[in-house]
Amino acid sequence: MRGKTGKNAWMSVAGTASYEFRMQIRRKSLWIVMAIFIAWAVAQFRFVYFQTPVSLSLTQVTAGWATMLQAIVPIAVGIMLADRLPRDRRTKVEELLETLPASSGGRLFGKYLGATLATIIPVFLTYAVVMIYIAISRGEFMAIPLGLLSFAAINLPGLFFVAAFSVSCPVLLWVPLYQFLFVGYWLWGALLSPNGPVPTLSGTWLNPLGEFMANGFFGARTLYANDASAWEGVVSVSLLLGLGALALLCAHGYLVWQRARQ
Amino acid sequence: MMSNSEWVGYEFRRIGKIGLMTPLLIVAGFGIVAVPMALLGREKGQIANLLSSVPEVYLPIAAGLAAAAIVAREPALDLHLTLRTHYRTTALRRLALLVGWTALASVLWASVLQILGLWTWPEPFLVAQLGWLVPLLWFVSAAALLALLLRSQVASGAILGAVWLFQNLLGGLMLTLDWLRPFYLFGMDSYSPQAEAWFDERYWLDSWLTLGIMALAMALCTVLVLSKSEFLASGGDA
Repeated sequence: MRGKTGKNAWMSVAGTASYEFRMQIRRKSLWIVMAIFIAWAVAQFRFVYFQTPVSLSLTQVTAGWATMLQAIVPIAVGIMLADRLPRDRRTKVEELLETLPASSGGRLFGKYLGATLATIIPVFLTYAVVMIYIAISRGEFMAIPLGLLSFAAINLPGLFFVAAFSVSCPVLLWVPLYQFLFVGYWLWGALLSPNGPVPTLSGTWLNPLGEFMANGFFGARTLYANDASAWEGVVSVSLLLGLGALALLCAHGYLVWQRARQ
Repeated sequence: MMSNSEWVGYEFRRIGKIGLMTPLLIVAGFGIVAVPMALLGREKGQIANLLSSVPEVYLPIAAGLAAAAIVAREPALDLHLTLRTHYRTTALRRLALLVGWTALASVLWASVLQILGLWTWPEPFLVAQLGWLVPLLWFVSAAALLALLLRSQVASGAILGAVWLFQNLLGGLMLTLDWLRPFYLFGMDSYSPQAEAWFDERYWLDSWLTLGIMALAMALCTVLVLSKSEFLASGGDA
């Protein structure tokens, strides 16, 4: 019986994820928005990369490109995911979905997984294209595996963290209010210097730019985390993923409570 | 048929408590942030700078995000096509209420800061209010136009977020380039009494005029797109 329930939960995650993935990746607006953000990130990287007088090591370049992309693109990822859950209510399919055998938790997690992966695809493609360019222009083909590792360690935890909050918070918050709080959070909690007058989270392990991973794992110079150990990188990854999971659990709990009251 | 002013009450109630509370919550939030800053011994000038930046840097983007939601979503648009009042009129009324409400919050906040001696913008007080009015109109008209053209509230919000973040991060760079300088939205936030000589009345006038004309052009385009309500009724973003 237990095995059957587990299989059912897994089927509902996989099924929802595949539908949500296709729904998100086929949105024209996703690609338009991503193109704007990516153009900005690439222009900034190009500027820094060609302006730096000293020749950078390959790890510096791959980790540097990962953190630079991470400073800008998560805004688009977070905002483009904010309407996924309210959309079910708007299009009036929420109650219909309730009649399915798929569990509500499985559907929520599937929605998160599918929509997030689809939103990250343009980011990953851009990251990969620049990595291939670096590999060819420097003649160092280690850039490809190193780039993949950097993306997985530096970008993915922060992106999944942001995505989890963007899927969960609109359960409670009005979407424009959440979007405002999110954009403000990004400037304050990710980009603002910890040495400025306003107290911020950007110098802590909760830094979503992946700076502790970039510095701790790859030894790259970053803005706010320059003598991090590899363990601090591990703590940062765990905190980001753990808090994301907590946000999803809270959203699930709230939805179950809300349904029970109906 | 509704009388000329009767719509105001209906539309106000339609915005809902959260919508109406949003600018007030933002202002209150910054007021609360100022407390730990003061407790940590930050200078009064730094706290005053942060509080004074609220109407220029934070309220306009919040209004813009709300504007995108207002024009992109009308659940009964098909029904609205049958009414005597054009959808364009209804949408513009809602946008006007949003701008008016945010403007009221901004001017009240500025006045409170002025009374408390925490207002850091250049004198005269009344003229300086253009410092938040222009970005407010810019963000609201850009958001409305983008939401209509992309048929998506979140896509409009994301592009607005990109503009806002770009201006916040690279404002210093924008101010050093002559051709980009008038497009900088947060001039008052970067102002300090020791600012460079070009950072004077001529700069404000130039910037407000440029951004004001942009806002007007985007608002006119919004009106044009809103006139095509059948186009709007044909579905939106997935």
